[in-house]
Amino acid sequence: MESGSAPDTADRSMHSIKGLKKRLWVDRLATNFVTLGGGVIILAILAILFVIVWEFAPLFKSPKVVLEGTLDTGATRYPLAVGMDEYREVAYRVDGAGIQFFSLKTLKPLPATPLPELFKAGITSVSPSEDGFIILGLSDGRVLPVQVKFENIFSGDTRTVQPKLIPGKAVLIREDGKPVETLTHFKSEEGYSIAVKTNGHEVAVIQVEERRNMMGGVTQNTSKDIISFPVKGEISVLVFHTVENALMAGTTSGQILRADLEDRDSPGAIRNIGKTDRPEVSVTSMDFVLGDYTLVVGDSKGGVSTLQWLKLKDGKPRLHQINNFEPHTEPTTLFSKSLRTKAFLSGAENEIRVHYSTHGETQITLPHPEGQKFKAVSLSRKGDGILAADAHGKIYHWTMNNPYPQITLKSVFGKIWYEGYKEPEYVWQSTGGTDEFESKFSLVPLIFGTLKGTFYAMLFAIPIAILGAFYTSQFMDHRLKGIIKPTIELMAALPSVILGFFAALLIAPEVERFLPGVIMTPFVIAGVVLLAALFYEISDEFKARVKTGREIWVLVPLTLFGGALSFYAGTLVESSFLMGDHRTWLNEVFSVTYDQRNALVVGLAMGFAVIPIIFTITEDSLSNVPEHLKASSLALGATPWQTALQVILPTASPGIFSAIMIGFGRAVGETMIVLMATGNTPVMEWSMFNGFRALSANIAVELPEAPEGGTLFRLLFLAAFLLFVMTFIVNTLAELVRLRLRKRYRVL
Amino acid sequence: MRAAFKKVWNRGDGFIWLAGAGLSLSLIMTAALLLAIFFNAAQFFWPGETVKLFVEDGRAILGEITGREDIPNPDNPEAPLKYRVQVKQGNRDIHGTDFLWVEESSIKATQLPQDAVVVERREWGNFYGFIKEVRDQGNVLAQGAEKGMKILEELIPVSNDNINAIQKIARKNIGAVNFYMEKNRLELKKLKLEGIDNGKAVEKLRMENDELQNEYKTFEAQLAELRKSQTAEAVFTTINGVEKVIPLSQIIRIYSPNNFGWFDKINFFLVKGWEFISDEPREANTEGGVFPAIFGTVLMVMIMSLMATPLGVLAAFYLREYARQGAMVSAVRIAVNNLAGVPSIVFGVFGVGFFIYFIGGSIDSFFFSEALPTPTYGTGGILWASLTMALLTVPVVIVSTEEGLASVSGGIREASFAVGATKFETTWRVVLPAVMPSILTGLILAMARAAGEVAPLMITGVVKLAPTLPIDGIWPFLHLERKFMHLGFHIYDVGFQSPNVDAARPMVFTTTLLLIGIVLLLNFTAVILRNRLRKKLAVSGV
Repeated sequence: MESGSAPDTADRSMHSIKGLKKRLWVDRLATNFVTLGGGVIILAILAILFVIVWEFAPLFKSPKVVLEGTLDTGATRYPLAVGMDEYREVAYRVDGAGIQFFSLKTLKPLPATPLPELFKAGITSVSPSEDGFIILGLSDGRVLPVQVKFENIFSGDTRTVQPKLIPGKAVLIREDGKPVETLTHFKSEEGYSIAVKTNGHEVAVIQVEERRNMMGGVTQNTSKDIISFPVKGEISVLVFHTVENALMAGTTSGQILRADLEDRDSPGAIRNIGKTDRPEVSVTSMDFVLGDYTLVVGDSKGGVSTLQWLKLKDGKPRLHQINNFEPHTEPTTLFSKSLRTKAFLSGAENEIRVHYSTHGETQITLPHPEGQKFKAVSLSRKGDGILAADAHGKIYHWTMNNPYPQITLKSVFGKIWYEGYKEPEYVWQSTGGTDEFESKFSLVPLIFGTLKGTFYAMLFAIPIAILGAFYTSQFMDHRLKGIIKPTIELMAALPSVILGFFAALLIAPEVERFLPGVIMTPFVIAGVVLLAALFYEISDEFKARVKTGREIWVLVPLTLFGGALSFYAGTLVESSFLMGDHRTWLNEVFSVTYDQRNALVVGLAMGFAVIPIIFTITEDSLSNVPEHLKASSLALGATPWQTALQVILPTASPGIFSAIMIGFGRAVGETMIVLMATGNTPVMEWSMFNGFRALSANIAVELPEAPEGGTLFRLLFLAAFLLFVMTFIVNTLAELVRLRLRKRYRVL
Repeated sequence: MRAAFKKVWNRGDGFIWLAGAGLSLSLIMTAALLLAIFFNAAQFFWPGETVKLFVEDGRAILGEITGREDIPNPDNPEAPLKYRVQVKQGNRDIHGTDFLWVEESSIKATQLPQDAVVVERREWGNFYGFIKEVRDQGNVLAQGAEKGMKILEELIPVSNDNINAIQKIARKNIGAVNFYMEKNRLELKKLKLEGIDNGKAVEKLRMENDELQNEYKTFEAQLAELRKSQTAEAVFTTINGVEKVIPLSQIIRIYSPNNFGWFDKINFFLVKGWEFISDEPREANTEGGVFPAIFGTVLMVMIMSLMATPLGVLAAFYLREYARQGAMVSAVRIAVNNLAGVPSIVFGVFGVGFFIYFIGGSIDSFFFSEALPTPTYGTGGILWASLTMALLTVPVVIVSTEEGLASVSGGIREASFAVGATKFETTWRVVLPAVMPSILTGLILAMARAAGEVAPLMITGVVKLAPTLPIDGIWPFLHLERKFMHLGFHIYDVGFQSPNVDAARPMVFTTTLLLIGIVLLLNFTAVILRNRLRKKLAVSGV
């Protein structure tokens, strides 16, 4: 700035051009940086949506099946059974001559494993099993149990699978020496049972008890029984119903018969329990899915259906049809089940289908690659592969990618007839005690819970908040308003965990004690206040004492008095009309049970959280109604109340609507209050005396324990997505309404 | 009368009163909540009298009366109400439960025995009884109530110092040794993964490990020495004459509340209050203090502020200063509104999916592959919780900053442009200082929100009991991957998951009071700041 020599000036101007450039550059950089800041916000909301969708989307991906390899065994006999190890590296095939292992990696046969226990007999039938313990029916009337074992041998870091056959003790079942053709078995910890058809209507059952003695040896104890079924036609398939200790038989005339093995002599121990559609349709395959609860029946018309052994209201237990699956075009003769889930596989000679028993959908259909004759199938243990052998000596190996088989839109949002239930229901029960537990993943009870909690909260909050806002904005002294409004806004700052804690530990027991009083409170307070208003009108002295705009000083004690009066009246009502105890009364008159932590308590506590939100926004929109509207109404002689009701309220109503919407959004997503103040049981009852389980609380409780990438994990993301969508719609709606309102005010 | 009624109906004054009743109801509820929590919490530190009750059936009970309620009698509602009192009898190791309900009508007499003492123990809760003697390795140091109390008052501070020394070694020194050993183990594993299992680096690590092992042994020896020096023990009798020997190392403090004057009571109140704020929790969080929870809450809020403030301020500046009206602005507005409205648990779910499993999982596989499958960053931790919380609170900062920007008059900006300042210079030198208080208000409100929010934290890294604080003396001092404790979660956990609900109740109320205090204090500050600001602007606007 000081004067200087000529070169100096030139230098400075040079410098300042340089400086200007730098300044402009900084300016541009800052602009970009700030714009980026705005972008990050959009990005954040998009990222939330994207991440959540990304996580739950795989649930609804359709399954993929790839033909991994075809193996030509060159065998000419029909296969009776196939199977494979856990890692799908080694397969076995059973035919009349014996058991042959193949490598599924090289697609070559492995060294032969002779079964000397066969003597000269051939294998005529097999009772297969996915766990490797199979029973061979032999041509000389004997049965031979064989454990197909796969040993994993580690050398360094490489693993090889070593197949092995461990034959058990053969037992002669058909004393006439005729070949064993229809048989079934089950294995328990104590031993195994085998049932063999000995003629058209008779079945021989042997039970083998294995006991390990002190020396490590095994002693066997075999008992044998003959059961005679009242069959029309002939027995075609047999299966043990292990959980009920019964034997079921399907016949060529379409009957399903049951023999109680526990109590064989009682009347009705052996009886007809079900049938196919028509007598000429015979039962061609029958087995249970994992857990031995759901029976899958395949018939000669290609039908596949699941049934459950249930005792409904009418007394006697019988088989009830649960689901019908897509039928085959040829008789359904093949079956295999997953040992992890409720998935199973049914097959006819020309195709194989994979179904899921819980929701009754057929997920995969695999036609025979050459159009002909599947004779044996097996689903892998993990449910990720299928093996099928055909009449031409070929074995096909498919890899199946279907990680979330139990999730379909129907199983998440529809009614499902679960195992052991009396009818189709919406149930959420994500974890159970055993591996065979059927997960129940219906989000409907949770959505119901969320809406129920929101409903009761809004029922409580809307009247109080809007009345309060009305009074504050229209009738209250301005200086007082300056204190009251921030106080109510501070209410919004109370952490919800504290409200939840307060509701559960202090409100819930008191509400239980004074229930009639609590329910009467709003009416009693309204009555008391209206009486006081009447008195105010009559008594000039009272009128002179209470200044307009400062009624609140009288109203607070009045409200307190009303509350106390109502609680007192409540105890009187209870003792004279409700048999002294409202819980028994509720139970006897309405057969409603009373939970201490219930929707009423949640409504009160969540109302607490929602009131300040609705209050603030309503108050703002009421206060922002242009002053000239109010003034002209009053000038025309309308009373303040008439002005408020007929001028202010209609003008501000969109604002009130948007306040309710935003309050609704808050209540829908509230987590800690519903988590703490309800019992979190996913029941579907509208009663305000029962608890519920909300989407939000469910996420908070179950997400920490859900393994990443599992069904439950992804389902909880779906629950979060539902919450996101609900609040997004409500918030956007509220915002749009508010924008319109702002425009309207501007015009006015 | 009728005319008056009609008049009221027509004029609608009754409805005005009704509307006012709605407001007073919400005020009453707020006041009731605050008062209920305050009174429940205040009892916690106040020393109650130790009462001796003689009951009809011949029993005598010693303890503190903590509650009274009527006995429900549904069969005969007309009968006069009967009451029962809740007595905290302590001595959980002897009786099995700390609390006892006694029917009031069955109490024959009450006494305040002057020699009754309350012993706060490190385990098993309080002991109520009488001092019999104090001894050390068989030598009786003192007998009887008076002398015993005197010598215990001398000995207990010494033993507490000793315990503190033991804990310091166990936590700090041995903790550090374990930390470095684990670090070395992982480094060895990393080298092995790279194919190096001998050579200089490996040798060095092995030698370090040996050194650490030696250090560990010295610390162990020190610990054993300290533990051995703890031999004194006190013998007490319960009200029923059962003798109970309690080693001094188990005793935190001993006092006889029946002898307390006002000064003693206030002193006790303050000491307990300080212990609550500064100590670590004991007995599954139902006793002791909440220091780690306060620490975790504060640290989480600080990291959150570091992330949320710049982002919120930038977005607000974009909306008010830089953006031209258009689709982009509408999009940002909708995004901000929805960020403010999306349920907090959804933010938590996003945090789990994005921060923990995507970003954290990637960090683990790139930088901490030697520790896998144990996750380092791929699991809940204070960093991820804070980032999640920052997203949740960003709209608060935006709204507040925008409000401030709207009230900076256009004239100031134009004046700045007129003297040749660029937009950035105007923003930086003129506008930003003017909106600083608004930003601060937003920040404080955001902090209050973050301090009280629990749901998203439950799934992104809060635990009921964290073994170590996220900041300690081991390099790099700040351990962002660690899990942490939080006051809000502490309330949920102790109040709802605790096995001993009665014993935990006062603790929960006190923590609640503390949290309410923090949140309301922050909010008050913000409100006052905002009001002052508005006044200032109102003046300058004219």
